Amino acid sequence: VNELEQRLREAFDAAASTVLPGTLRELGSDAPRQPAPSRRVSWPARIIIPAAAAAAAALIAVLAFLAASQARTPAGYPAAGLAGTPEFLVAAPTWLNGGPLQVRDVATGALTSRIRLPVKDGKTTVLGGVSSDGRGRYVLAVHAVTVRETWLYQFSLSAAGKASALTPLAAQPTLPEVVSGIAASQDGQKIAYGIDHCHIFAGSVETCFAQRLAVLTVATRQTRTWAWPGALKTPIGYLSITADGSELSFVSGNDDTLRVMSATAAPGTVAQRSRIVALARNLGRGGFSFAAISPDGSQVFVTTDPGTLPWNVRLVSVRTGKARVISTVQGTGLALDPSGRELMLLSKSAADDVQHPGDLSLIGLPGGTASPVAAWRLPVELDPHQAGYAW
Amino acid sequence: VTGSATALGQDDLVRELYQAHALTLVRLARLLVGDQQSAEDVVQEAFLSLHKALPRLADHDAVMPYLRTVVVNGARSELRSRRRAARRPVRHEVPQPSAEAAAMISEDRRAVLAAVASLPRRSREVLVLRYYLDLPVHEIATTLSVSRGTVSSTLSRAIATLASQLREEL
Repeated sequence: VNELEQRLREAFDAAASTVLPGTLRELGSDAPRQPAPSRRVSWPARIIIPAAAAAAAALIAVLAFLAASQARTPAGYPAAGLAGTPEFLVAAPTWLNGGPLQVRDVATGALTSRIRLPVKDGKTTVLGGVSSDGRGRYVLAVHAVTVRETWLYQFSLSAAGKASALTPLAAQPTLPEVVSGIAASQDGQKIAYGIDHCHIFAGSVETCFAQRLAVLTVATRQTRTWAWPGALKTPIGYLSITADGSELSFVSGNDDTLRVMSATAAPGTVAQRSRIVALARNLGRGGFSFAAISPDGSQVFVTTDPGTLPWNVRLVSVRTGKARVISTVQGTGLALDPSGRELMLLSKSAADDVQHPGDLSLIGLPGGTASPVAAWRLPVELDPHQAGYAW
Repeated sequence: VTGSATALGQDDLVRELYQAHALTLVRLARLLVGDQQSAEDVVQEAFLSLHKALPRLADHDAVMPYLRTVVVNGARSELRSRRRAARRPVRHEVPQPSAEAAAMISEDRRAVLAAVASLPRRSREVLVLRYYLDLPVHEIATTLSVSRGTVSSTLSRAIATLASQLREEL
């Protein structure tokens, strides 16, 4: 791989260096072009099209808000013993490459706590994942890059959203690899995680290859693992677990394949023990951009990323694999509330860009009624493409 | 990034940014679209877009990520417009690298570039951002507006495919 990477660098450098310094035209000057269909639009269109897009986005937001205010109903969904939806959201700004976790009030966006990752032996640590049990207790995986060790920590939130100190999980597995994705059952007794072998480049976790899927039973300190087969070994994505810790769902195969698996499956490979529920390619363009199993394990809530609008929020039946669109709000899922009542969504519009990745919405489940979270906007450092979230 | 919006007019600031970063960005676009002229068009459009977006950018550290994303999106638009043009009855000539440019690239490197060109669009983008700009995974994820998991898996798959095509052992 290293030799191939070197050849790639040399080839790209050679091709790029054909653009010589001093040959570029001045900013704002047009080059004489061969006749070709122009992809530029006239100046009136440059004004009218964004204005129309903005008007359409505003209309959608108003309609969504009206729909939410008229149609929002009690969840009517198996609540799995939780009294209500959590008030706080834990967000990891840069997911793998450092940065403190933020605890934010869901309603107002107020920052209630910052949680710094522990430093091991003075060396860089990176976050592998954070998950909530739905009762204000959280577990997170941290990898110390230079000493090649992953540790699982836990913390809790007070009623005011203040985080306790991180404490190592008593049932600490020995993990030299990197953990990608973590999911905790509602009693906190089952913790599922993916185990990757990653290339480390300049102190940063780079290309990762999935090695195993694991479920730790905290009380017995026993870990079940299943090997991840296949030559490509792409990392496990969007790992989630049911409230009782009995079933897992996750995405594999370059974000294309949604699978479910029993957390008590017999030893073997993930391919042998899991079942394919849906393929993203059958739902339209793009791979899965979010997936989370419902607390009772009957459904998986998914969003796909087609690259361009429209996006969709769907509910996939675990039993039949049938998918149906439950929300017309365009966006990508960020986190499923552990009670299964609400999905936090980043709703997208054509006007969104790097600085404004979108607006937050809460999708009531399973009906799909939308409530825009008008009080706050996702800060830039919580870009959903980098960040991890847990209610 | 040097200067500031307060010390310089917005036009001057954009021109200063162009002077500082145009070469890097045109080279990036050249790798994505295949020829300098189209690459320059893409970058000019990116700076036009920057001019409009500048008041909304939180700080100057956000400028380069913004420009990279706009350049990648512009390159996609350019390639899409070529595909549309190719389907029309009147054929238009697709810009090609010049003979001089081709002569500057050795046989082995041309083979590598040809193998890269045969990959899906997202794979090409990830490889260029990783191995030309040396961006870490999370910055590639931001540039392409995808998850870092998608970047990692795309990178792994692209490397494996390239290795197979170039008859290398992983």
